[in-house]
Amino acid sequence: MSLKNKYGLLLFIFIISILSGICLGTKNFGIPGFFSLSGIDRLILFEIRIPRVLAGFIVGAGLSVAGSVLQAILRNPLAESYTLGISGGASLGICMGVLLGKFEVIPYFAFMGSIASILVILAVSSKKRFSNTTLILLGVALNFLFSSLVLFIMAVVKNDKFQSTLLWLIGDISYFPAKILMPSIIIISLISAYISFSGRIYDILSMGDEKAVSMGIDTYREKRSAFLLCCIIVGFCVSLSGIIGFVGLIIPHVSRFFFGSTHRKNLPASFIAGGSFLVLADTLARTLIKPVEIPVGVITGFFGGLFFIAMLLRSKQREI
Amino acid sequence: MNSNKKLAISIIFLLIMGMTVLILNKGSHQPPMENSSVKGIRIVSMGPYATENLFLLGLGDNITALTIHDLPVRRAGKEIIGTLIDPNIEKILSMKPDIVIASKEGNMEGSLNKLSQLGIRTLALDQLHSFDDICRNFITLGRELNSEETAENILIQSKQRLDRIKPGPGKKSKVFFILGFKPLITTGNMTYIDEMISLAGGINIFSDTDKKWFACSVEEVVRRNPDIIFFTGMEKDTEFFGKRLPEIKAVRESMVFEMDDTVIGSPTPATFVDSVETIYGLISGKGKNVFEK
Repeated sequence: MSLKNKYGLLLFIFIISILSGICLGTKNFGIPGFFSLSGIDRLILFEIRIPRVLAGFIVGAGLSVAGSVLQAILRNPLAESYTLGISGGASLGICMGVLLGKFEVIPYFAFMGSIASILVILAVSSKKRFSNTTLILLGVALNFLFSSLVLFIMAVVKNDKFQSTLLWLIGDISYFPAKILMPSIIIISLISAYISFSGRIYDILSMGDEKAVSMGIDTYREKRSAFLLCCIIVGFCVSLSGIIGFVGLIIPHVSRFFFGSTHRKNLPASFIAGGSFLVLADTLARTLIKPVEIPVGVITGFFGGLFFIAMLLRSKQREI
Repeated sequence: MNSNKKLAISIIFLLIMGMTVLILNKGSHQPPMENSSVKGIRIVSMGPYATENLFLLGLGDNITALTIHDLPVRRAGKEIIGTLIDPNIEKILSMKPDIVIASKEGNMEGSLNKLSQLGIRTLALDQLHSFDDICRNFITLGRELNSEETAENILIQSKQRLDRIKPGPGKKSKVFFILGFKPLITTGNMTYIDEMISLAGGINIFSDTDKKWFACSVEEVVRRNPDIIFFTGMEKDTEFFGKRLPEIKAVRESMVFEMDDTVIGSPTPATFVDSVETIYGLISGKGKNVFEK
């Protein structure tokens, strides 16, 4: 399939995901139905469904771009936004926000938690100049540390706050404060565009530090900038939807498979594919057993698990 | 200006912008109820606690939709809006409710805020720590639904029934209440359950613990050696008593009783008094225990 056809297919998937997200739900809307909307229908569409589709798209897109960059610079196919301890930091931030008892501050604290975790990693790694593998292990260790703090807080917190924490920790796009949607869309889009235009840097970094240094790249500075930019994206994503796993892990692999390893091509593809995937996952979560809604993290986790098994089977065949 | 400073300034700018957006977040506005006649009110209930109190007020038929957690008999002929912690907002809107009744005890603040932002009149009943809270919520519900007089009459009857329960003098029976088995969840002194036990003439073995619900150790239960155990909750494990607590007095003397989930978990003024009467009966030896064939 030519590159042009692949982009065409991606655009088609994008359109289908947006249309299904808007049209399907507790009440399904056909295209003709858009021209004869009642007051309630208008409220459902413009105040609930469209913002939710936009939030789902930008979160999926942001997590995918961040995951793609992290896999490139850490040269590890299992790296994603949450591998470096960002999810642990965000979870701790969410718990702190819930403890304060004010719904409005939870997204802000989730954002701060993400930033704090990456700043810890950067501070520690600036002293020791860790290798990629050590950075990932440090992130895993931080995840364990933050997660144990989260469990401690949940064990002693008042039970009425426990349920609020749970939904944030398993991922849900229902309850973001409307005011943070537009800033999130703008910031994530701008940073993703900047990252895409810097694609050549990540192509070089993905070849290894020695090669990159020999080509005049300051690897430490570029990695640090990349970490911070990914962290800002993930911070906004977490503030919109809580912790949604696997999107940043699966989509980079899929876009590399179809669009190649050149980041100027696969980063925009990751953006669109990741956004479309999460919108479709959220639509499924909303409609599978409606009116009961499944948290979207359950759907992405399910497909993420299947994807990994398929990936392992494929790699097993190559070894033989 | 070096790149470190640029990056730091950019992050600080973003944080300030984020904070500003949150601060500017306007509060929600409660629209007036359009349908002021009790008969025609369309109510959506966001949980069993709201549902049971609405039925006690005589407004069960006005409920157009409720959650999957409500009793099957309550759900008959009504629409479902989803779960307690993640209700389907679209479904609630499509029911065109005059008012949505929720509870801060089980519903998430996020869903209540969302409904208010969408202009849906919402009443969130306060959390429950005591019988007074149950009564206060009931009056608030009655007032909101133009049924304050009905609510007050029901309260007067309930309090009269409560006044007739007079536990005898002498040593109080030690009572252990189980909400869940894995982990072992019980109540401290900050719930209406603790008050129920006290009014019935018993003493909660964890009445010295300043908590609502918490996980306790089996060891501590054995140490405190309750005279009576009663339990409720979704996962019942009656074999637990024989396996883990065979030596305590309540198990040796077959004083282990099951209570109704909804009556305990979704109390109304009337069912609170029912529970006190039941516990009083258990303490005085008139109830049915789980070891009876």
